[in-house]
Amino acid sequence: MRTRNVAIVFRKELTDTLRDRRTLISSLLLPLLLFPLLLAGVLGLTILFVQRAERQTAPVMLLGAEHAPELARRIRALENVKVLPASNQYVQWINDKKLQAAVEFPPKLEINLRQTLEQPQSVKVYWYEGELRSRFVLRRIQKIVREYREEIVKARLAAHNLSAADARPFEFEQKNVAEAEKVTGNILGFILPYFIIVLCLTGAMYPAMDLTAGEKERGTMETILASPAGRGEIVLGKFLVVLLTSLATTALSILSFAVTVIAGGSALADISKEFVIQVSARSAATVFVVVLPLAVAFSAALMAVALIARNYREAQGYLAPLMFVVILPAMGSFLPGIELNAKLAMVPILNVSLLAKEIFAGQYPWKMIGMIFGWTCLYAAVALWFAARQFQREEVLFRT
Amino acid sequence: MRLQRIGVVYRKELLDLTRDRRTLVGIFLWPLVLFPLMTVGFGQIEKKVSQRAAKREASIMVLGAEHAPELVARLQKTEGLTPVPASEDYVRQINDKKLQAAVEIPMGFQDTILSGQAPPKVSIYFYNTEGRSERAVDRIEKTFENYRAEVIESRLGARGVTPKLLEPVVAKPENVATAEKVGGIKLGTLLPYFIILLCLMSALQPAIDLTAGEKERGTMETILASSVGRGELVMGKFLLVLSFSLFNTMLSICSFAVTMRFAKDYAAEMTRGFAYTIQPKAMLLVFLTVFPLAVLFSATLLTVALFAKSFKEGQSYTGYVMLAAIFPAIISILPGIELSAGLALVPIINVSLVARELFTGSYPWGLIGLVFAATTVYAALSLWLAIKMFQRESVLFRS
Amino acid sequence: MIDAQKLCKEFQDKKRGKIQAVDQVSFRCEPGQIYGLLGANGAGKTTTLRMLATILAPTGGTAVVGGYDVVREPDQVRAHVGFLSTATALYGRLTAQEMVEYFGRLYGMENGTLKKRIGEIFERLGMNEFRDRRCDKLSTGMKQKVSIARTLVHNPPVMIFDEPTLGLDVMTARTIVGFIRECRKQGKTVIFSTHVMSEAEKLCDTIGIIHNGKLLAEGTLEELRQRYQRPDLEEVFVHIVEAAA
Repeated sequence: MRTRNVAIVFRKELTDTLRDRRTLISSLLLPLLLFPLLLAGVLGLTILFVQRAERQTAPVMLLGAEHAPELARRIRALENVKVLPASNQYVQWINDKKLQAAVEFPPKLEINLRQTLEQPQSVKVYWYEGELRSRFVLRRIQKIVREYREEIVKARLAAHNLSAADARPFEFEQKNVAEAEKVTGNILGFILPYFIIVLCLTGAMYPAMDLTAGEKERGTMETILASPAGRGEIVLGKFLVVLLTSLATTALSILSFAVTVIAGGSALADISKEFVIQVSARSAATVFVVVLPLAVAFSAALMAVALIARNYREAQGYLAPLMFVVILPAMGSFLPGIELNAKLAMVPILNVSLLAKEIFAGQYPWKMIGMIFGWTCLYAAVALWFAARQFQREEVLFRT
Repeated sequence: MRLQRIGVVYRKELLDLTRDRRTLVGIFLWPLVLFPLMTVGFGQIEKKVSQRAAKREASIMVLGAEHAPELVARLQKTEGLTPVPASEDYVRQINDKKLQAAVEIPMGFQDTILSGQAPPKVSIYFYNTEGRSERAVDRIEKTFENYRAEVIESRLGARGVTPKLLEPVVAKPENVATAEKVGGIKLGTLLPYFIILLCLMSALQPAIDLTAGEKERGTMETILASSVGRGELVMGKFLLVLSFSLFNTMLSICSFAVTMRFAKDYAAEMTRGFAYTIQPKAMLLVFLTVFPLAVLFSATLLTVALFAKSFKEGQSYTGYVMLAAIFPAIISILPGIELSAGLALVPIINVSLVARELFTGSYPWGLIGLVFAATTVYAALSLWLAIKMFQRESVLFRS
Repeated sequence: MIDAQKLCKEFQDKKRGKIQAVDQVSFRCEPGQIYGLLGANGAGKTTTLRMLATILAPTGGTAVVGGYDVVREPDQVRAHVGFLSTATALYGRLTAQEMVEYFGRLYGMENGTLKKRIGEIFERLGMNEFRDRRCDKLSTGMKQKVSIARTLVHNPPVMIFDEPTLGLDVMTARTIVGFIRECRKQGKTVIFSTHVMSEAEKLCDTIGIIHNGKLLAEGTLEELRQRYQRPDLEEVFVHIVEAAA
């Protein structure tokens, strides 16, 4: 194995790949543009639509308003709420979305409230479950009723010579003491491992096909095999380009995603003050080291499989199903509360997904990290060996 | 344009396609094997993992336990909470996940409660977004609420008043929308999106194969030299792409329906909120509005792929079409977007939104008609374009 | 010099079972001579040539090419062989110069020597005007020249051509034929395969007729005509093949 030859092959394949328009678009342009556009566009539109829905005038009906004149008055006074005359068609109208909600006051409500009755009264609010605007109106009506209730309670307490403190002996509140990094890490650890793994795979797919089956299709396979470069040197040179492309695509995508989220986050920070986004460089670096052998395994395996194909189209047919084989275990990061153990550490892809989730959350289980790194390196070595072997087999290289 | 010739072209393309083993496996693999497996499998695993997580004991620490012996006693009796001795480094322990929560009771708590002065505040320290910590907090808060309710009752009772004094009126939401409508919203948001995406994606491969693939294999020239007209050739190919796309979509929908029904027992979490009764009338109308969209997709993909010289190139070009189509599809599932006359004219979004209406059992006939008409117009245009392109030598013989 | 010694190549086919593509083929080719391997499609020409170029490994026998054994010293063999199969198989996205440079480097040529050599070759073949043009933008004739340059860059003593004029028009085929003659003039050992009779008649010093993996006959054109009492190569060929059936 002469390093010089590997370098020569690597340089040529890299030049060739970088000049391929398809690679440039799917590996560079797409990740950089897609995420900002998607996130910003989708998020922006969602906010727009939701705000618009909130501002729309909501038709509401009051049933038995005569029993609760004060409440009725308050509801009528709400902005963007239009009270329609009462009718017993309200169920149908709510279903048809002509009406967002109907409020039913029990008979003699306010009269009963002024006397202290034993039974708490309930005001029914009929609505359309799951429908956005109906939910907005429901919440606003609930708020009105809540405020009214508090006034009554205050008055009642005073009447009995009780203070507000009597009604509320003690308070308790939640206080997050976890570092911002850890909180962000938990959220990131949910989806990021999945994306990183899937990106590593998809980023390697196209170059793996192009450099093997594509070479066969173009008729240049024979020529390179007749040159002094040994089979192993050719495989290594090509493999390095596939790996590089895969890592570059992943890194660019994550970067683009991160920038978008941070930019979006600071825009959102004005809306939700508590949200602080912080990512630790240490966890990012550790995850990278853990994912690296997996990327190696992917690149080598994809090349080995794609080499079997006679042309690009056939290669596609072989590689596309592999996506599913990888996606399922990669989804491991979506599962809450799985604890890593020695057995799970052996399962390829799943182990990396779960480990990355832990690392993002700020945990560094060094023994597990070592174990999983070891296992993944083993799988990577097997994949590389398999790829190298494929390149030795004449029936694979010259399949007709 | 002779129907018989179109039929000949169609039958040959169909025969060719069905003999490709890999394509066949691809058609049936996802709907019949992968999707059910993934849904049920994942649902099962998620259920098991969640159950196991919920049963685990949470370690909590009480700081200042001497100030509220009664409260502490309650916490100790609460299921799922295991108190540990107090120590200074609780913040570190919570961060390291060795401790799930810490409760800090201010000085003089018990006395303040009994005397009825300003309410003291108990702090619950926890790890936000961490499941176990949040569950522990839930349990703690529940215990606190129960205790607080008792204190209130005893205090008010001492003055001869019942706690019901404090709950004069409450607003109770009551859903009056039919089950179909409630479940239909969730279904109607996701299903049209998937149907549209499926229609598009399953048309990709045959569209490329029948145009760029034909060029690559060198058989384009041969067929063009035969006595079939260009228009007939296009129609035959287009019909194959269309029927392939529709077949795939139907199969996937059936698989979806069956899996969802079946998964109701095995993976309840994932299938919650989906409607199971869809009126056949609605289903038919959905099909009617999706059909011209499928035509639009098939014809457009066929035209775009025709520009390619090779299979690889065909993939690139059709890939761009896919990207362009995904955006409107995604927009249509955003919350707060409603079908209107204006949106009824926008391709893809209109079909998605009208399907949502139909799934919830509402029939805005005017809008349905508008969507159908608009999509049909677009479909006709795309078909006309496809036929035009097949006439152009610069496209057919690009090299 | 090429010395094939009972070369054998066996394949395993899924449907047809064991196939003997090349069966005990032996022949010699001297420097300054052109050896033509003549046969129909599937006769074993390509497989034989691939074995000589060490692209395929023989399942039996061996060959000495340029003084090195193909089984024991394949690396050395490749360093001394120029192999040309299809004239148009180039890396489309590389320029003509880059294409030739890549292989030159693989042949271990130093930058200085390589640049000089490329300069010479490009000058001689008239390639300077499309030196920096991408290979997929070249005409067939230009592509051919690039392939020739690539084959020659390391000045190998042995040249192996596998159906080099397949699919080329008359004028462009002549360029290849001229090039092959030039190689002979330079004292290189040349072997090429073809199924075009006229080509074999015009070019070859020795002709080997191969059919079903076996070398059925060998000799100069005159010798073959005399031996089999047939007026031209095509008749000789048909006679031999039919007799073997």
